[in-house]
Amino acid sequence: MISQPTSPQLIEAACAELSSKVAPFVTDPAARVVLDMTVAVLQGVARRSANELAWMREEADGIEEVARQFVADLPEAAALASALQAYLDAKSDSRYLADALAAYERAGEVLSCAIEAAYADGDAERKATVRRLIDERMANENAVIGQYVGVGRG
Amino acid sequence: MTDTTDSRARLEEFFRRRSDDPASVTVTEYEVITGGYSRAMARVWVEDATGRRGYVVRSDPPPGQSIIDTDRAQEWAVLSALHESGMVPLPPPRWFDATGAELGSPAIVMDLIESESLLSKARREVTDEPDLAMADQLGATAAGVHTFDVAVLPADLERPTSWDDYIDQRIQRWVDAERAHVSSDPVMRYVASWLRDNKPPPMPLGLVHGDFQMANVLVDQNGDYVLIDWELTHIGDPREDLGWGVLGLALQAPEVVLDDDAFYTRYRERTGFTEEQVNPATVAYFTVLGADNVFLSVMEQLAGVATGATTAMMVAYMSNAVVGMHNEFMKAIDLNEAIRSGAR
Repeated sequence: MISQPTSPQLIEAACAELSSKVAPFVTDPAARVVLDMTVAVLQGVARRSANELAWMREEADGIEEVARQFVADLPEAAALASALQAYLDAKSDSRYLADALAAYERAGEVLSCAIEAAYADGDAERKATVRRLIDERMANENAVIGQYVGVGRG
Repeated sequence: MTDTTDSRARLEEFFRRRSDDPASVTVTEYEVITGGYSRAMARVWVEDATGRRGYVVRSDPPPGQSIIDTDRAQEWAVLSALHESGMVPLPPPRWFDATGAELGSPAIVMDLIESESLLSKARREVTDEPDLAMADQLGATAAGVHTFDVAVLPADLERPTSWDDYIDQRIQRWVDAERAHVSSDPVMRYVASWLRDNKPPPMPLGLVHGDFQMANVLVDQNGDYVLIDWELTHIGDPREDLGWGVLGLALQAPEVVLDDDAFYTRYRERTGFTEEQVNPATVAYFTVLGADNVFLSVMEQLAGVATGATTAMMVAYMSNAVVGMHNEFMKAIDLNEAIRSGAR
């Protein structure tokens, strides 16, 4: 396969052309909003395509570590134990995006159950721990979109 | 890209059927309104033998093209009741095409008000100083909605049985929606857990605009504020509107500085609500809770992109908006906790 230019570089090139050579000629306001939204989405896709496999794995590893500790400390957290087991049973080293996404989904459910276990237990430190995982997830989300600006609002 | 020819022709027929002098009716201008993310909107100017008038047409977009799915019939019923009361400033609703037989899709036609949105005005006049007058007037506008007598609202508008049941139901929506979604979103489950753990003092339930933000406040030629976009109106906790307004300000006009004290003081004076009930901490709680009507609808529509049900860019773009809203939920949670702990 052709590896250079990279996917992000190709997408950035498309965005640059759309912004500089197409946008000035779009006079229909509704079409212009769609074009601006398209460019915003593509710019995010460029950043995402460069990082998403690594981010998903890093987040999942962090969730697994916390979940293992919670399961050990909170024997009543049955939903968390079950979600963690499902995640571990299906864990693989596949490098295909679909497999990575499926693993990330399972890790997401583990995190959701860990959150609910932390709040059911009420321990402030555990609440802070799940909040840190949420913050790490959101840091990656934010890296994708940059600053959110509502295109076309006014 | 916008099929204005067909829309103009349909509208001309529509207005002719409602005129005493159909032959003289002409649609002279038709202008698509951009900036809204839910309904298809257009400004229309109509001339007949008696003169020239402007209207706004608010219709359902084609399936898969909107970020929120709401009921035009309910919106029409609410608009009619509010207008008839004369107590809430809104553009007079004129006609309703319930089935779309005339206008192509269910549509409400209302008077066009010569105005600009408060969002545009605020951005145009932005300064480094808090805008006391704007905060005061916005507080009075919100109070007018929240003290409205809900007894005169349409009978089929849902009336919650109690504040606690209502709040619990709203919180559970976050969990149910996340479980039904095409992908996991632990932020939603975090939000639900946090909301359950941090309920504010209860308040009397009342009329809630549902999308109370500066883009939905028009400033008319007298400087009066007029509220538009009532599609999410319901009976609930009035603080939902205040919380949603704060979120809209953060996402759409962070450069605009309103004065919190002026806003809340004016609002509490007009409503009779206490400082324990309405303050920046309780409003921050409702920035999170009250976002469900829009946020969960957005998530539902966004799922359509993942399943291939839609390719609408308006919907796909909402993946960015979801991130922006996640950020604001966490900021609101942090603010609420900081105030309650005395750190702020």
